[in-house]
Amino acid sequence: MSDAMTMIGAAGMLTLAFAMLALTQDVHWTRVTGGAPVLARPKRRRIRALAGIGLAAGLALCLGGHGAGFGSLLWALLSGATGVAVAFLLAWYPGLFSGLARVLAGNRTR
Amino acid sequence: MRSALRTSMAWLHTWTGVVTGALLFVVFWMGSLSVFDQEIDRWMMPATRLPAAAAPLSLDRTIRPIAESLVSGAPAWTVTLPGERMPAYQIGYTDAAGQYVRRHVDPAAGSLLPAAGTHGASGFIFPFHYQLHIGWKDVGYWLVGLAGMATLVLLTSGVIIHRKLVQDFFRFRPDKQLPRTSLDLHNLSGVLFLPFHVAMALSGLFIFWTIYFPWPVTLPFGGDKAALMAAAYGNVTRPSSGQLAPQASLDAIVRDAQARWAARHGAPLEADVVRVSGARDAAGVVTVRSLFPQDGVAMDRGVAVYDGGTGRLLHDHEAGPVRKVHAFLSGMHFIQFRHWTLRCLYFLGGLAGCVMIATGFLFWLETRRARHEKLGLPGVALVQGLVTGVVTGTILATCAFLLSNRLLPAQAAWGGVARAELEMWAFFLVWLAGFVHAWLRPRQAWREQALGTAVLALAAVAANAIGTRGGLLAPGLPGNGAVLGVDCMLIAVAGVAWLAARGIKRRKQGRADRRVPVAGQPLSAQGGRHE
Repeated sequence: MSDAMTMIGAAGMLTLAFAMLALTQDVHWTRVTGGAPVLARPKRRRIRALAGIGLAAGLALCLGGHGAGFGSLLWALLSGATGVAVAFLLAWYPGLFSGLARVLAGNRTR
Repeated sequence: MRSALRTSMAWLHTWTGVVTGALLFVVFWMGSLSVFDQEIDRWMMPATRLPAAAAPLSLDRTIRPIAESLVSGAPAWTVTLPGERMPAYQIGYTDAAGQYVRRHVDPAAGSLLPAAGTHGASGFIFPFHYQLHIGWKDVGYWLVGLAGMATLVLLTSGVIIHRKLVQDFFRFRPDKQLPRTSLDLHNLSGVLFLPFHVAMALSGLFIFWTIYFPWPVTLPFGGDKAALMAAAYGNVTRPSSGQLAPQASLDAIVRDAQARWAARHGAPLEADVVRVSGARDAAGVVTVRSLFPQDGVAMDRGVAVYDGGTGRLLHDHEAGPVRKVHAFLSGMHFIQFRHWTLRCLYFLGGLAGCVMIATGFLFWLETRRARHEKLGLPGVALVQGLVTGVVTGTILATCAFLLSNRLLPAQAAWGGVARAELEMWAFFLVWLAGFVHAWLRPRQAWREQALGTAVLALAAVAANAIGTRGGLLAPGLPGNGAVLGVDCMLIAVAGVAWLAARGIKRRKQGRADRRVPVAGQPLSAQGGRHE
């Protein structure tokens, strides 16, 4: 896999992981879903664990594609950039996350 | 206990920020621009906008004769070999007046290019980042070191006082009042880029270890700094013998150094800097360095020193463990390696730091404005002038610096001040004017300076296109990629500045509308704020 592909993959993975983390917070969940019942605590924990795996997978992609030196720097900076991007998108275009919210909600909500 | 810690850290955070914030912003802004110093150099030095050469020039047949014709008795000269971001050979030496001079050689024709007449980003913006152009007694270095320490204090205290670090991790409310929005942006940029900002502040302090920590680093060498430099950097100095000697082939020396490095590292390592000290002297020395290897973070991975007369190897330097860590941290900070995504992300991280500082100031101002005005305190007015001059004023002055580079004639000089210094004067005068303007017109300064920035940035793009027939007018021209990048950056600056000016106007309009009193109700009851 080329360096560019691993980087794009890592950026996508980090964005998804941060979006999942954000949606486990009531304020963002309510804003994105327009007031749907918030996620149950166990489900929230599972989503956060999945997001943690996503962040780790992003790191693995960065290290695998770019080596330890470049990869660690890339992951730290991509984390910042994608985190800010998620925050801005939640503020200005919350509807973009509604699909992800539906997937995360499944059938079981509190 | 926790509350007491938070209270004391809040005090520390607030006042460290207010006192050092202006300095921090300048260091962050100049550092962010330094990420693209070579690209800005190409923009400011049109003669060096050249395509990469097909084959390298001979150092013996081409570079050495040019260098020797230039240096006229200087004890040493350095040639920086062409790379991906710098197509020309660069010869550097100290002239009779004690000024460091840089000249460029066309990599294809092998001819000396006309003097650039500018310090460029690498000679003005980059040194501004680490020493503020205050050379006297290293005061500039110490001020920047203070800024580095202050950054670490601010980041640490900021994390401690952030009451809802997790809850507010992704929180940004652009539709709220200015203090709330500012604080959200301050927290976002501070928390999400925290590792980057800590790494930059810490590595910045480590780079100048011989200035900031002179005693501990020279202690193992009995206080002998020359011994430290030899052990850490592989520096070899020999006193002049006063006897003339033939000169060894520089090309052969570079080939030998690269072969040794390749054997040691198991992969090719290109030389990028050759320094000739004591040319034609029997005790002359040639140092070959791979200062900024392209394929890794750590810098200075290859250093080999040769006898200038015989070409005999004097010292093949291998760094010790401490120096290897230092070289990694330095390389991480200098970002001269070949990784464009990281370069762009560094720039973004630097700008996030600028946003963090500016929004911290805004929050401080907006949460105190009403009380200070009510009590007649001068704090807000004073800090507002300082902040406006530092934030929009620095950006405005940078645009003026670039525009002056394109408008000044090639041979411009005024009152004994050379062209390159005139560009610096343009920066400092506009910067000073920014402060004066901010204190004279506090209510309009943000918007007017933002509009001024937009105008100057677009004027610089237009002046570059018209004056050099390059930039946007010739997007496909070989060697024009860096120039196009800088032009796009200037257009983006103009766009953001214009949007900021429009946003300020709308916010003011909104406040004025809210202040229109409803019949029978006092203004204070309607949440009106005095500006």
